[in-house]
Amino acid sequence: MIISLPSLYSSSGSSPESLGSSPKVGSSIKKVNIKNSKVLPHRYPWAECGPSPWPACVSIMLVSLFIHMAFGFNCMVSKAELWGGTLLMLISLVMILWAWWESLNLECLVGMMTGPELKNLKTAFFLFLWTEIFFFVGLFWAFFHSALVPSDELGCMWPPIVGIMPLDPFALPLVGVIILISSGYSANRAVKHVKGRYPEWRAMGTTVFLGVLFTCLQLYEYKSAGFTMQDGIYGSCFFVITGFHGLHVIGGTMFNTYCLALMLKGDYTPSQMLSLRCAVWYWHFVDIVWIVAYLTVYVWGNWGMYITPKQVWDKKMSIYEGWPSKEDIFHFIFI
Amino acid sequence: MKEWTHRWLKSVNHKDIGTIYLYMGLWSGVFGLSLSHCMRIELSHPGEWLQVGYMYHSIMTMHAFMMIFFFVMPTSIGGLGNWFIPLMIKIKDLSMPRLNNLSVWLALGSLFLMCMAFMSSGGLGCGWTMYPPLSNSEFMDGLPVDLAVFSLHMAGMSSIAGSINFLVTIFNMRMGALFFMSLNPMLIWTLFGTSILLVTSVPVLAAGLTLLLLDRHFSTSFYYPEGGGDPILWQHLFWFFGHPEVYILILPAFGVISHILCRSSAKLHVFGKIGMSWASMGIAWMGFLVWGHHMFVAGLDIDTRAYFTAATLMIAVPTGVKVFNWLATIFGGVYSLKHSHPSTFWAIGFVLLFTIGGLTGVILANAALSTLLHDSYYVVAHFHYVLSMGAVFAIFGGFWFWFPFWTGMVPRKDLVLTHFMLTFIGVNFTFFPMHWMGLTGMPRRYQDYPDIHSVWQAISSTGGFCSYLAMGLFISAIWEVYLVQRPLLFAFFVRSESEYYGTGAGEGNTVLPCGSHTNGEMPKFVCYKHKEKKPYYISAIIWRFLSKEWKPQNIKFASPLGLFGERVDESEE
Repeated sequence: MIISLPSLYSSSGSSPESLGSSPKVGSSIKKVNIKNSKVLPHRYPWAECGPSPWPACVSIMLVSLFIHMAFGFNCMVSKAELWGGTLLMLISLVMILWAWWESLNLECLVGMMTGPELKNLKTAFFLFLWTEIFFFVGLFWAFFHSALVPSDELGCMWPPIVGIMPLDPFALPLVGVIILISSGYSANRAVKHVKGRYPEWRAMGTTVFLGVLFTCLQLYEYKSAGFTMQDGIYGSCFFVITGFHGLHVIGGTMFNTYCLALMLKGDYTPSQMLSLRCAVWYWHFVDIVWIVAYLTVYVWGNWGMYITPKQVWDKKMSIYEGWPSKEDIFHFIFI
Repeated sequence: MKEWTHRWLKSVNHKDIGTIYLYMGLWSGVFGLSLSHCMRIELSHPGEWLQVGYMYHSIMTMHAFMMIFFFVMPTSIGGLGNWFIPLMIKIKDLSMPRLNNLSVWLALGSLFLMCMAFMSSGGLGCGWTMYPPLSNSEFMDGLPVDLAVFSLHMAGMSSIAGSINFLVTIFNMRMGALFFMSLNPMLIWTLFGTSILLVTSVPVLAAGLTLLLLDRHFSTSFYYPEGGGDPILWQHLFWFFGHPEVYILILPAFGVISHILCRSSAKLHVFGKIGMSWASMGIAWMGFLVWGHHMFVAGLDIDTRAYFTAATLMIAVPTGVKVFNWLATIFGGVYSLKHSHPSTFWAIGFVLLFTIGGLTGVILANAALSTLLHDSYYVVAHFHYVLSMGAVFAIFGGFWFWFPFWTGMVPRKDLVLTHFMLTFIGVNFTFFPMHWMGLTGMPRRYQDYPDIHSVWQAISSTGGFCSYLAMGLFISAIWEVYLVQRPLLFAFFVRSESEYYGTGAGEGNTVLPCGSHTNGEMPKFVCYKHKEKKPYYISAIIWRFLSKEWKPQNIKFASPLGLFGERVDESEE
């Protein structure tokens, strides 16, 4: 790993060239309108990084992962091999990324992360979030495409007229909303603590805990749901949207845990806390996606047709028990 | 060896990464061209040469994937973007060099996966649009579609990484004086638009591909009507990506053409620079609003079709702005077969043929006509005129325009010109008869046809052979220049252009090829006063109108003399 330090970030007033060329520079700067103009440093303010093996490793790992998955999906290897191998490769991918981030941390510690450099990373992270938003736009597009105009096969109803027992949005999912919103609050507290120079682990620890709690809650809800991903478009949309949200929650929790570790190490200072801020922005993004999913998939999508997961869990029953009757189905299919 | 791996494998230098992209694009371009030649042989006369129909489909699909994702995108965005964004903004490197390296490696991995898809179990025959009933597991079981889906995922990650890098660089790392409006070179503008399109549309394709994969292997029913899903959903998701994709392909080409034309007619800027910039941005924005014109026969209702027709026709406005501005740029320049730079010919060919493609695009934008012409050879002719003669001509032009800059060597002009002439004749013979074939009812994606089409198909295949030969000339020209190593004596760039490419040497000193690190120090900008606010705010314009500064002698109109090349000195005031 080659690290070259950037040249110092010097303002124009103090740079030796300008002082040498005209001694009046200091006075002339005061005259101009600062609002409409920008003084750039003479020196190059962005860090220069050395050659890195990690991008190539990531690419090779992804190619292997994808080939493995394609073979597994087409039953060329056994199920255990498929998922075991996938898990192993994902773990090694995370380890490669970890190594990459460690080099970033190192650069941060030796002072390569200048202000403009941090601004670049911040902009890049927001653009990354933008792409994530549009990924979810695609998924919600699938939901609305089917839910706004339910097809004949669904009985022109959403949720479909047969086979689906929707979850009660005001039971467990509402708890999820509360958990995620409060975890967003505690994440903000964590940033505030670092800003105020009294970093402490409790706020970030709470965020991580709430993230794990939410994941467990989702798993419980999946287990207690009266339908699966294979049960038509309703189940598909529900499980894919909440599932991808859940994957993002897991990723965000990992990110938060990493930041918690750095915080405990004492790496964060008020000016060098970009990864913490990114984690928190990411967490807010996950939060907002969940609120949108809650309002659309759960509340709007299930309007008027609730069944509590507890009922399903306890009694294996449906509020539609006995309905639609055989006559109704006959009527629906043949008339 | 260590040096070599540092330079090419673990590269963090934008110039080296751009070069890798160019090589990758060249390889895939030649591969894609060979595939198209296979198709032309098959279609040169009635009957079946390939015997297996699926083989033809597989070749056709791979031709599209190669040309779109692995030739035009890596070359014009990856290659030219990596090379020229830092140089034109005058910085040392892109904002995140390692992310840049990740982008190129993901692109190479994606190319590998796509080739695997082509070679495994009979090939990939679903067409590049991968419409679901065909690409579902019932109709296309096996490895190829899965590998292609994964390959597109990787290509998408690569594009997103690259374009985030570009956007951050263009947003944050401009020099202070480069206000967005006035001074950015056209290539920067167009790559900016392209990157915005990429970061917005590619994730939607990723979502669609993920749903396709789930449908194929996890029994979901997004695209199955039996489960309440809808194959049209795929068309929406795909074309929400796919239509911005065609602007992704053509926008950098616009930038390249602007640069070539304003150099070849010895103008300081391209005519109507601000209008050109905003036309690019307008095309990028409107690219998101017109995806439905690919789906006119998919059962959209009449209002939707009316909307998409109108919106699509409106794109002709900014495109027309660009074409007319190019014509105005050409006007007054001195052009001759003997003295003009080879890139000039490509650029003029671009303007001519892209306009033809654009005009057939206006015809196809109408839902009523498109219903008739849908999936016919007319459509094939249309998009080959805008891509194969638009984007590809711009890439060839840009290649020869900047070749001396990259290598410090000059190609043999007669070889390059013969390449241009042969290609020009070849592609027109290939694709112009396709309009007539389409109008007489020849459908796309068929390997055989009734005898009535045989004359035009034979002519088309002859043209295809001609452009195939021309490709040989292109490669010979590159080979010759590396063999002879004819050095550059006088740069084609005039000074104002060479200022874009700070070579690290003193002002006006253009040592070519430039070193691997340029712009180590930034030019200093001390403050400058502005009398008025930035003039492109509409409020500022109104303010100027209302204020007392608005006197007749303060108003500057474009002098008609300016058209004849007389420079209006702006520094006078």
